[in-house]
Amino acid sequence: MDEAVIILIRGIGSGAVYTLVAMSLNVIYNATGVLNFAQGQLLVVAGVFTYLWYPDSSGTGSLPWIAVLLAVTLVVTLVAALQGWLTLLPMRSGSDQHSWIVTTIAASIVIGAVMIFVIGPRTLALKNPFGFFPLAGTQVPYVYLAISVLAVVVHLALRWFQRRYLVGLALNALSQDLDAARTAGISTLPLQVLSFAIAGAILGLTGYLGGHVIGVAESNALHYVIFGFIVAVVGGLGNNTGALVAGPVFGVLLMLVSFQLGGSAEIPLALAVIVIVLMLRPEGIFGRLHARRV
Amino acid sequence: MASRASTERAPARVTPTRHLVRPELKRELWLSIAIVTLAVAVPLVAGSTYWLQAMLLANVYLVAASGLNILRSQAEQMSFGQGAVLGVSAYTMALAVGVWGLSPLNGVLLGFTAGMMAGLLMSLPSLRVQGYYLGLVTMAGALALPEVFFLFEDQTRATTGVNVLPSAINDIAFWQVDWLTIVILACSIGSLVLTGVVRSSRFGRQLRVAGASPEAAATLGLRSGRLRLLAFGLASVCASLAGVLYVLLIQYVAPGSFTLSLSILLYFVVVIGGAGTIAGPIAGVVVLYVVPEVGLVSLLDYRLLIYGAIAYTVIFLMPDGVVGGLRRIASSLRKKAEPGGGIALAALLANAPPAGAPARAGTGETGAPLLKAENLSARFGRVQALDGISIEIGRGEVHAIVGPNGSGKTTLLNALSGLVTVDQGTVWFNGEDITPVNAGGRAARGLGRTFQTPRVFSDMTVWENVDCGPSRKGASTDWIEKALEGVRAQWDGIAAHTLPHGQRRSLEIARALHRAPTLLALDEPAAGLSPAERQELSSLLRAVVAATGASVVMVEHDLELVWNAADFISVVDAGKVLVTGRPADIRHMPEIRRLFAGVTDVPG
Repeated sequence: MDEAVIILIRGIGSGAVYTLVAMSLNVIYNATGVLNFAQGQLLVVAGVFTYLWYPDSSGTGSLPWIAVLLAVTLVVTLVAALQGWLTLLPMRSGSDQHSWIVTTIAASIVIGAVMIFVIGPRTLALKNPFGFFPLAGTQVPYVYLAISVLAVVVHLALRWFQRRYLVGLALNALSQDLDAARTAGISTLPLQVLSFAIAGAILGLTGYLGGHVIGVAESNALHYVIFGFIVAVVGGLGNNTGALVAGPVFGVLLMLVSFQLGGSAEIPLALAVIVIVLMLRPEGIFGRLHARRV
Repeated sequence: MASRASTERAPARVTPTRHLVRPELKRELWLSIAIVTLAVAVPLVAGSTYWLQAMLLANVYLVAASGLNILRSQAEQMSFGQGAVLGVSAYTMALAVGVWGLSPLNGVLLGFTAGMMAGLLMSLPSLRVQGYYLGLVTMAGALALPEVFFLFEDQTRATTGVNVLPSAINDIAFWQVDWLTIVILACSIGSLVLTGVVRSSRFGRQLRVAGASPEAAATLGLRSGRLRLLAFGLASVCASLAGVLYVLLIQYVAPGSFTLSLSILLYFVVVIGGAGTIAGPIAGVVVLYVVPEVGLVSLLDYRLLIYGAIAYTVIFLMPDGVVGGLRRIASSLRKKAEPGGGIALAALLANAPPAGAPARAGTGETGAPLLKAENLSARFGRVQALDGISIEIGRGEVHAIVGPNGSGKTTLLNALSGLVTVDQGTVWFNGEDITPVNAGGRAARGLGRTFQTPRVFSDMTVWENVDCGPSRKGASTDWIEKALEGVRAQWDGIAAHTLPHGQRRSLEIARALHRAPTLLALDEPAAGLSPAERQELSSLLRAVVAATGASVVMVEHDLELVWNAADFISVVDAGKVLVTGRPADIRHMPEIRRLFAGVTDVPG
């Protein structure tokens, strides 16, 4: 009984992290068509700065948690915006529109190398900042609750932002048709950089709250982003509602397998999930099938 | 030297003009072979074991990267799994020799086979998904491989890794050169030759069409799924070979050697070196492996930083990779105009003997239409694209389908070509019910097709663009094929990217005619053409019918072209044919006047 509760709580918690990564991928994908491989490293950046600045973990400083949260989010937002700008720059001139595959992976490698300089190759022990609450005989850290709430809040905020504000509408329009948006006089580059910044902000918040849930390590950066991709694809690429549902299910499944067979089984399972979903329903659970132009 | 012999032997089998490696690629191939040979020979002469070992490993990576180059550039398949294929092959061989006690030869065979199996597994998703979905699946596969080794730790000895002792292949063959050096060099030269041969072959061009446009491939009668698997097969051969060479060279394997980073390295080597070129992977291995790992070994701590920075900088400065970028700089310095010129398809057809047409018209029952579609319906979601449409296309006629946007014209054309499956209705072609036949089968029966946006590969010559369908069995008896064969040498000298838009249409029509179709389906052939080009197109279509006896069915918005070129016009609206008739008969009908109210003067 206890084990089932732990699997469920931990699965939903880590699943919420992957949902948030998936939603941050979707934001950029919808605005630019780019799948940003560096998002995993951006999550690591958030974890590293949380570790450095949080009073409990480093022992120095005594900033209130909200200040740390905002500072971490700001840093990751700026790094993401810079990385986005560097990714979009060659795409505007080059005839080959696939340069982003190389540039985002290269960015991931560079950020990772810098993070190793800063903190070394280790898993960061990020402390649980909010204490525990009892549930079914176990003590559950509040961050598990907080990260799940964050996933829902980010989902609603993105929805609201895209409907309420002209910028949001314009970002939405980019996803419908990039060329049409350009013709309509929407200047695309600042908006696309903005989408990277929004994704960075999401990852900053996620890294602060989720660091304790998944255990941040530079060497796992690609795992985070690929798990995020898998959740995004299972939910339907570009569809945040799909990601919100797919994340926790995926997280619980991973945790279950991890408990039964050990941590090494997680990625082979993830591979199986993505292969099965793509074979049966390539457009994802909530995705729309786009008609191919013939 | 061995490659020289094979270069000269094969052409004798086919026609004398055919080259195993295209003449303009030969210089690059020889240069590439010289570079890899020197890279191994110089450290040998200088007696530097350190550099020799590094250069041999660079050559092993080159073998795998060349295979990926074919897969990525020729077949346009995105794979991040080649490192995993290499890893499975290497690890299996190491286990076989180092743990199970098999002989090195059996180990090589077993490792190679295991690599091929892994490659096959990696390729299966390509039958279902493409683009970055495929990239994601293969990447997940590469990420999973080391974990799988750890999952079966007792069998794989994942924590300690596996040692393999030197064998007879490490013996000296002559002077200071051991057999392994010779084998690795031979494999690396072989992979370069393979790239050149595939790039020059019709098979390579078929891969290209299948990768770039599965629809276009289907209407040419190509089976793109099979072609994709073959491309993955070639890449797997190279990666598996690299895997066994890796074990023979390094004599030790551990899961950490075959992480996703290796697959990413191979992908980067191809793209950053210059995808689609023979020398590209060499340049890629140099800038991404030799420079950061070997050359700047004193800066080992900054290795990843340098590696990532090089990758980004090259792509930023040269989007086509090092070799592509250098080539662009060289051609802009030379200021030499590309060999241009036009293709005069209409003039070619005008020379057709008058007997050409009736020869074909005689086939099939006389009087019966060439193609007959009855009561076709197709629904996409809530849109009823075709609503019980019927159409007949006679022999040797130009039949135009006109109608407002969204009336179902292109869907009708797709339903006739087999690209869209209809919910109900029947299609007869040459008296045969072809409703259950797919696009490839219909192409084989003589149904040709062009698309709204011309599918022209600008980095190939005009002839290469024309000759990319499946090879035809038996001798070509059709006049048109012989006529095209006659201009082959000339068209092979024209770079396709020098063609203006109108000529690209002609090129696509020539590509379809090369298959000697009895019915040619054209989707908006006049789109984007100048008035003069439309005039040319109009006479070209008449010439096609006159010279080959084939029929033409086209969807077209340009009414002037329709009125000039068509024998029959079908007006389509809301998924139904409103009226069919000769231009002169229908131009006063109220349906026509209403539909084309914007057109002030209906010619005729």
